[in-house]
Amino acid sequence: MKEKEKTLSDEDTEHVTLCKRGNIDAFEMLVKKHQKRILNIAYRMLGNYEEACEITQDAFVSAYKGIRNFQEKSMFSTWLYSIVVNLSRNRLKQLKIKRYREEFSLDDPVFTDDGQIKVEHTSEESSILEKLEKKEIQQKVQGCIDSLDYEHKEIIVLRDIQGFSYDEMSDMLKVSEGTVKSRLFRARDALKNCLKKVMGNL
Amino acid sequence: MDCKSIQEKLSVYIEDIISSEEKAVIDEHLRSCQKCSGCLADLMKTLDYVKNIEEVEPPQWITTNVMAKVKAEADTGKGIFERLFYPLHIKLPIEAVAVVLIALTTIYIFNTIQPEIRLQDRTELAKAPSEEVINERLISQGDKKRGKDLMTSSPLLKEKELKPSPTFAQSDREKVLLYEKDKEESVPEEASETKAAESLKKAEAEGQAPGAKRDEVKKFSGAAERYESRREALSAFETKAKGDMKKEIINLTLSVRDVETASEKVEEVLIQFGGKAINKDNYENKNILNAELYLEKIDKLIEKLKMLGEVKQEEKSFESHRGSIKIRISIEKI
Repeated sequence: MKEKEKTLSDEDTEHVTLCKRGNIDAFEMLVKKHQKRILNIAYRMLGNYEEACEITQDAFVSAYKGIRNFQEKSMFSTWLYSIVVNLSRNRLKQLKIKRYREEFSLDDPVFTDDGQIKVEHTSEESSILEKLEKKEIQQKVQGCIDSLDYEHKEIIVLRDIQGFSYDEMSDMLKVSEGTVKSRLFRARDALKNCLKKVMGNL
Repeated sequence: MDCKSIQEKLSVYIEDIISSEEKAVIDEHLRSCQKCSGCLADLMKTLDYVKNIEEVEPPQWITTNVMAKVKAEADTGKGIFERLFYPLHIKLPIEAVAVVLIALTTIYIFNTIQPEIRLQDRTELAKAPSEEVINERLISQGDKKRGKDLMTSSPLLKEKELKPSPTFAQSDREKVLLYEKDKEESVPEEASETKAAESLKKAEAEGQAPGAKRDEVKKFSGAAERYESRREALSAFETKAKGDMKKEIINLTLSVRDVETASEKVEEVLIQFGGKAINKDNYENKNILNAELYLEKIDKLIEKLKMLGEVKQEEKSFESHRGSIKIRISIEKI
């Protein structure tokens, strides 16, 4: 995985240099190459496809704006993914504030979290997913990811879904590797408990 | 190692990023502890679920939208670029050329207008002190209408010389009548003031002869004769003046390279100096301009002409003349 990243980044470096010279086509190549991963990070972070698409676009636009300031100390992909993680995190904070304002469940937040997850998903995707067990599991997993703290959420998404190395994650999240490890443990533990609760048995 | 710390380590244990000593300890513990091995199983299953979560496909419009936004961004970036560099590299020559063109146009316009402004000042100055000029002009305009020979007639002379004649005639007649009365009443001295009276007196003295009646007739006829002769003299003077004017054509020869341009310029100059009745004859390599001009403008005209080319002037004195004079300028190719 790590080696694969390395070769990808080498291709990126070429495109990034072209982009810095104002070559828009080179940027389009980068968009096409990274959009899927960016969208998936955003989607797993936000749990909403439309929101994820919005965040993906925003991430690319801010990447284009900032590409001249991008120093090749880290890989372009790492830099790009850190943008999407930050944007998703900010969006989550916004949504959380929104939820607090909309809901009246300040005294029972745990229940609200779970309840909300279910409501969101039944309203959006249940008609398609309900009949398929696999899809149902996926939905439940996503529901559990959604229920996590954003710090835990991002670390699960980056490590267990996207498979980034501890090194890359500490780069993206601007935290030490030790923090990444301990955060990952707590995130996995929380996720495990959630899945146990949702599925009854693992 | 208790279960809690073992469970904490499980997360790194499954990723194999743990020291071999720790790994051995955990392996040892897991064999003996059901709870912890159950935890490990749960963790593995959890990770299985998470890792098997399906990827979503990005919609095609994402690239399109992103590129549209990026292009818009790039265009605004170009705007800054243009603002910074165009004045230095591309627009500058255009601006410079524009400035030079404006400057040249301004100079050209100034040069064209400048003499006209001076002329205007001069005519205003001329108008202010004497109304003669205006009168002259009016008369000359009137003459034009009447279709008189403008080339030879001087409006000033006409005004000065023609006007007295009827007055003279009138006063003469009065005096003659007066004299007749005087003769009858024998008071001859009363009319001694005027020329006419004087001449009549002389005639009287000359012809102081036998018959008073005859004398009377003679004297009267003498006066009449005198009057007639005066008129004759006046008309003679007029014709003489006219003749003089006919003869007094100032001939100027201007040698230039470009005849056409020079004649246009000369024409302009003539108009500026208030030249009248300008006409132009074109010949091969030679243009002749005829015009009427006030005498006092001649010197300035010649000065102007000298700026256009070589000027040859017939040696003549015009000082005895007043008013306008005919001028013929031959423009010849060098």
